[in-house]
Order: sequence, then structure tokens, then C-alpha cells
Amino acid sequence: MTEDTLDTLAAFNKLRLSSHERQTLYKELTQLLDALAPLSSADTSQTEPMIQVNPLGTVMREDTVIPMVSRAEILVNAPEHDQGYFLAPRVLE
Amino acid sequence: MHTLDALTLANQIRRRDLTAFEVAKHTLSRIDADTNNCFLYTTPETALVAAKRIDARLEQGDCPSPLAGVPIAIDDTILVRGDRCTAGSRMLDNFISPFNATVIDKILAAGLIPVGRTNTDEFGVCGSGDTCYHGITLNPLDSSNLAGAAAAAISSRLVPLALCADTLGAQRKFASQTGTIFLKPTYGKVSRFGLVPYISSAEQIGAAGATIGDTAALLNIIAGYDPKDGTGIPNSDLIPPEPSQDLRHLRIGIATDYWTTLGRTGTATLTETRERLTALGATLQDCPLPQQQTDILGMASMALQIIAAAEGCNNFSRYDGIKFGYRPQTYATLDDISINSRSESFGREVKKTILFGSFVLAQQQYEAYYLQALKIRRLIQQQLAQALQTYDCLLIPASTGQPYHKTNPEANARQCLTDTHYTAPATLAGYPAVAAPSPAVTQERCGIQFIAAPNNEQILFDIVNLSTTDSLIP
Repeated sequence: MTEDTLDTLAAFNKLRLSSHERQTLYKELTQLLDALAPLSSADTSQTEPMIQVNPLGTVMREDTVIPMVSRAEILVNAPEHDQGYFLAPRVLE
Repeated sequence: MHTLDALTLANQIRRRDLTAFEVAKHTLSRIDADTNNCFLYTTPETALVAAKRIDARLEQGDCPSPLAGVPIAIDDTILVRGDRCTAGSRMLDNFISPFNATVIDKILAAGLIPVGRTNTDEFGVCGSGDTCYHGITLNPLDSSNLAGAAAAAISSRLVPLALCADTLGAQRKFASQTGTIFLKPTYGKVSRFGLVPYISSAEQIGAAGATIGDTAALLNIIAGYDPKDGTGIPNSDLIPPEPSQDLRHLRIGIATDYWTTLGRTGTATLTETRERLTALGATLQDCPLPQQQTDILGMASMALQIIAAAEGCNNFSRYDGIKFGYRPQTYATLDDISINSRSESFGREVKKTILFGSFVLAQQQYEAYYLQALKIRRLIQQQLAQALQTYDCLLIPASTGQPYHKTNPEANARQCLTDTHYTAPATLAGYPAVAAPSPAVTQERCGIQFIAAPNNEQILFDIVNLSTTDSLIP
């Protein structure tokens, strides 16, 4: 990982790092990656990746609406809302 | 009354020697006087109303469960409708839960009384105990060190039970260091609906208590298939109420390699545990589970870090300051809101998780890190499954036993990675595990951990129930 990579990842994840954070995180992440080096020694050429631990396959359910939470209850947590909608800065001129 | 275990307390409430109301009031007053920062806040109004309601039902002979009337703490990553739920983060400092987690619906139906929310590492990330926005929680057995808040709350006799999420395994580690028990169920046995997500494919809500009987009773209440959780396993067996009288029917595999690396602490704990289990009739045999850095099990902690970061990175992407969460003071554009919200409110460990997760998921690194970690996960599950064909359960340490000092976060973060080595195998495999304090080695709390095959919580219950008779809680 280079410092440029870190900057790209931060921008991609909508994070602005202070110079101290950038310095510390870069150091910690490079140390972490060094510590993960033994992983490459494992022979996994014949092994399938395990995404879920239980053999459930794709779980489907009926495409029906089940009332659970009201619009008002959801909007309680919205920093800004108006007439039942979330408010955000204008994106189109 | 606060020194009673949960089942005894429930029994006294059921017999009307005590009322749920007076127990709740006593509990709340003790929490108010707590100096270890176990609780972020209490919910006295709803707790006392719920206690009165249970008292009225019990007066009519209507007892909804063996734990009716017992106070319980809820980890701050589990949603309770109408309550704040911060997940230990500034991002959610003002978040009000719009619905109950399924486990909350279940404990309310069973007549338990939620009294407040325990502190947590931010989103459960790291697990060292010092990444919470609301400050650290101290270990009541040694206030110069940190502890998980649920374990500390039980250890200091504030509550007899707690619900909390096992992410990287910190709940098991801190249980072993506070004289308490933590039971991590089989993945999918307990609904995660309403849990603030971090490692969706591995984390589980588990039961913390002062005795294994209490945690088993709680697990019986919260377990069961939930159609709202797509990862739930149907027909999950519960733990029968009658425990075994001895362990003659059990073969326990001692993962010797894990114990020898701990030196004197490991040897002393293992010797003492082995004597107790042998006296109870169990057959103990050394189980060759090599765990050096170049062994598959030695890579469990590394694989879990990668998977946790990858899933955490995705789960934390939902926080943008628009629909809910921290809204910055200054912004001009839509992007400003998200960037300022996330930059100002996430702690350093969460930012590190996001950046690392994003790195291992990037096209250039995907195969070397994320895909490799998923393959190692399968090999780890295969190794555990193979060992558990020979043995009914495996005995490994719960942690290194090294404490987390309250003024040394950098050393704690490193220590946390080392301790994850002991908890990661069960977490990655989705197998049930229970952590308990070392029976007699009170100064060296590496603790003991038993791992069983999926849905075999009964075995864990029998072993800990019979082998850890002495409480280490003052």
C-alpha cells in the first residue's frame, strides 16, 4: 500500500483524514499488511471460498409488504426532513 | 438480592418472596451508583412499568418463562424501539430505534426487564474496550484494566444477565477476565435482525451471565428461526432444562498446541481444568490442532480481520448523514454532508476498518487477501468439523490472559489481535463456543473455552455447568 493508495481509498469512502490520522493509519495499515504475509503460504488451490457458514443457498421470501415501521418513525432520525421526505442539498441546478 | 443468579432470582419472584418491581428498583439504584462506566444510560420508566406488568401476571399465576421478572442489560448495538442506540459511535449518538430487534421481542414476551444499555466498542470494531465514543469501561476485578461492559456489569453484580454481540470474540475474552460466562450460539440460531451490523457473516448475539445455567436459560428464550433474518437456520434445537449429572458420556479434545504457547498460565489453567473434567468422568485426549503462523488455524485471526474489515467497510457505507446519523454543522453540497459526517463522527479504528476493508476488496488485492481469507475460512471449518467427529467438544484458552491496561490503547489494539487468535476459529466456522473463567487460577485469567459442533450447545452447557462450580465474582 502506498500513501497515494490510502488517499484514493479515503476519497472513495468519503473520509477526509487529518495529517496526523493519515500518518498514523498509513503506518498501522502497512504493519497490518506485513503481519498478514503468512496467508499467502496456505495452499488453497483446491478450496472453494466460504461466504456463508451454513449451507442455506439463496433464501427467498414472498414479495409482500409487511407493515413494520411508519414513515413518521423513520423520519424521527432524519437530520432534516420536510413533508415526509428527507432533505438534502440541491444536486441539480 | 443482587448477589442471586438469574434463575434463583426468578424463582423468588415467581414465589412472590420478591417482586419484579422491587428487584428492578434495586437494580436501577445500583446501576446509578456504578463507577466502572458499564451502562451508557438506564430506562427506568419502561423498566418499572414492565416490572409492574409482570408482577400482575405472576399474581394471577401466569408465568411466561423461567426468567420472568429478571433485570437484563442490553448491549448498545441491539435495537430497542423508542430507545437511543448509539453502537458506541458519535455517528449514532442521537439515533432512536424505530423497531425492536427480534431478541428484544423475545425477551419482552418472556417477561425479562431490560433496564439499560451497556457500553460497547464502536460498532464492535477492535474489541479492546477502548474504542467507545462514550469512554472506557473498567474491570471491576481490577480497576486498572479494561473490560467489556456487559461482562463488567455482571461481574459487579449490577445485573444478572446481558445480551450482547460477539463480533471478533471480545465477549468471550472479557468473560474469562471478569469471572463471568459468555455463550456464543451457533451462527444462525439467534436472529440478528435489529443488530447494528458489522461482520454480518460471523457475528452472533449471545448470552452473558454469572452462571452457565442462566446463559442457557436466556439462550432458550432468544433462540429460534426468524423469517426476518435470511441467515437463520430452521429447526434450531434448544437446550433441555435438565442438565446431565456427570460427563462420562463425553470425549473432550484438548487443543494442546494452543495451551503450550501460553507458558505457565496455560499449563496451570489446563492442569486444573483437566483434573476437574477427569473427576467428572469425561474422557480427555490431546487433539493435534497445530496453530502456528504457517498452520491453517494459525491464520484464523488474519482471515477474520480481513473478512471483518471487508464486511464492515460495506456495512458502514450506509452512514452518510442524510437519512439518519450525525449531521455536520457545516456543508454546502451533498458530498460535503457525507464526507464531513463520516470524517467527524467515526473513530480511528472504524476508519481503519473501512480503509483496510476497501483495500482488500479492490480488484488488485481481492484474490490475495479477501478470496484467500474466505478459502482459509472453509479450511478452518473443515478442520474443526473433522476434530469434532472424534471429540464432543474442544478445549482451548479463551484468551492469553494478558490484561488491557486503561491507559495504553496502542498496546491494547495489538493485544486484541493476539487474543483474537483464540476466538477466531469458532467465529469463522460459525460454531457454538462458551467462555468461562479459569476455575482456580484467579490471578491468571486466560480462561477456558469449549467449542462444539453446530447446534450442540447442550454439550457446552453440561461441561461448564458441572466443571465451574465456584463463582469468581466477589
